[in-house]
Amino acid sequence: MNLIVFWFFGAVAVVSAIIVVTHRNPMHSVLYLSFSVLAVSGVFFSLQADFLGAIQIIVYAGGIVVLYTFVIIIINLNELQREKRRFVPRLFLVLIPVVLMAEVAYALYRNTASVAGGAEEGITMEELAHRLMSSYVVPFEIASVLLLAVLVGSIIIARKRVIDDSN
Amino acid sequence: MSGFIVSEIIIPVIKSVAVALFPLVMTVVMIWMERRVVALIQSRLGPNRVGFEGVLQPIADAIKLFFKEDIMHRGADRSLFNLSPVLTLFTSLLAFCFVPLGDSINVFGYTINLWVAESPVGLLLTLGISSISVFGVIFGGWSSNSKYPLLGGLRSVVQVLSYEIPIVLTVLSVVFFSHSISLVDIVASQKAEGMWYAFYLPVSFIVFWISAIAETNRAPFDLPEAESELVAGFHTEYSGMKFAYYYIAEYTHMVLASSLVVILFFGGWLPPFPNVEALSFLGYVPGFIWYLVKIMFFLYVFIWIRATFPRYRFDELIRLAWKWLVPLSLANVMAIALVRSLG
Repeated sequence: MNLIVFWFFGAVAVVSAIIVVTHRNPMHSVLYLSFSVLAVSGVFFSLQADFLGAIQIIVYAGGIVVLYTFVIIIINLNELQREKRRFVPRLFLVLIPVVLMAEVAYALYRNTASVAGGAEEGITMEELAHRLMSSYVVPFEIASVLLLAVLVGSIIIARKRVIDDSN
Repeated sequence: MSGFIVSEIIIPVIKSVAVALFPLVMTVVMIWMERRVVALIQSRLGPNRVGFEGVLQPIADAIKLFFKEDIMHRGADRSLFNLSPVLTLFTSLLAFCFVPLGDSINVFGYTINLWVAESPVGLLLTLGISSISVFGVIFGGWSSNSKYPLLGGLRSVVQVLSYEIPIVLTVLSVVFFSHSISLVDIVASQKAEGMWYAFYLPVSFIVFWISAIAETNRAPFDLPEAESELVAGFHTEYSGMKFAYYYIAEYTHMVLASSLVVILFFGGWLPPFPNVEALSFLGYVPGFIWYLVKIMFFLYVFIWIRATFPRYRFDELIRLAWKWLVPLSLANVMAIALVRSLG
């Protein structure tokens, strides 16, 4: 049963991710992006990672994708022009996905055993908290400092513009 | 074998249908109550013609909306325009799967839990699912291809994103006491404590309640549909049943917000003071009735607030969230964490 759910959500996530890239209308792309994000949280649930699934819904579906829609509404889509890209940027557009796909394929090829090699029962929130605060405390703190720096930086950028306007 | 069929198929199906119907029934009650109570507060009569004291008015409204012409203008984005109302209503109904409506009960020898799904992270899921219903509002506003709906949609994005922060922070202070984010466990820990959390965490309760009103787009925070500035906000271009979907979703959201307040701060299905001997007779009333009484009280407060306070201006709304509620809830969480770690 879990396997069927896993494959179903996995397929939905991949198909809608492809549509995100190929669709012409950015607003529809965002809709499919939210489908993709929600399907990934379904994958997490089928792997008994309830906490990760819930966080995926709150942070990605409820926060980040909503911000994307906000930005798309604010920029005027009619003013956007199709830019003609030169050869090197075009090459990047093709090469980066190809390299990433190759990496994933290689990782799958090397590690054919169990992909979800974690705990059968899934990890509880308490264990997760203990690990974040003990074994992984340094990356956790570094990430939070980085986020704080981004926050301060964006406030400074926004502030400067206000001062310019009043003058 | 027949026991297996009943417990594994029939009971879950009945529960799922009941969970989908419960908010709809509450919506019908709320539409009548809102119109009558607001009329009472404003010294008017309100609808009192259809049925006894107008109780059949919501049904008359529903029939009217059902037979209304469904209009979509030519510039609208077809698929998104049709999808948005469904998305809003569906997500707000889905969130009810994790809300416990009462304790486990025994019917004909079968133990029935009055919740559809129990998840160890039920609280996070409920908050997450109810926050994605804002997609329906944004997409509805954008796909209408008209200026007032677009402005309403934009406002609602900013509002929901801002008020989610105080909500999550105040919920965190409840979790400090309950040591669990399963909604069933939170009620159980209030029973063990013998006290509703609202008495321990009054600041959290007030901040949560204000933010919940803002999240449900109700007056005085109903900026996305402010009729004096934006006609009807994000659902200006909608008519007929699609409009009814938005309408039902708003009331469903109110029922959900009241349910969360009751479960987090007012003991869910528990009677008042569950551990006091002298009041133990209150325990004979079924848990679902207590839950219903409590959410009806908070739904009444919703209406009361709507009829009492004037609408906020948009910058005041954002200032309230970022300059008052976020710092207040942060200080609250820090103080509670300090008290809990010392005591």
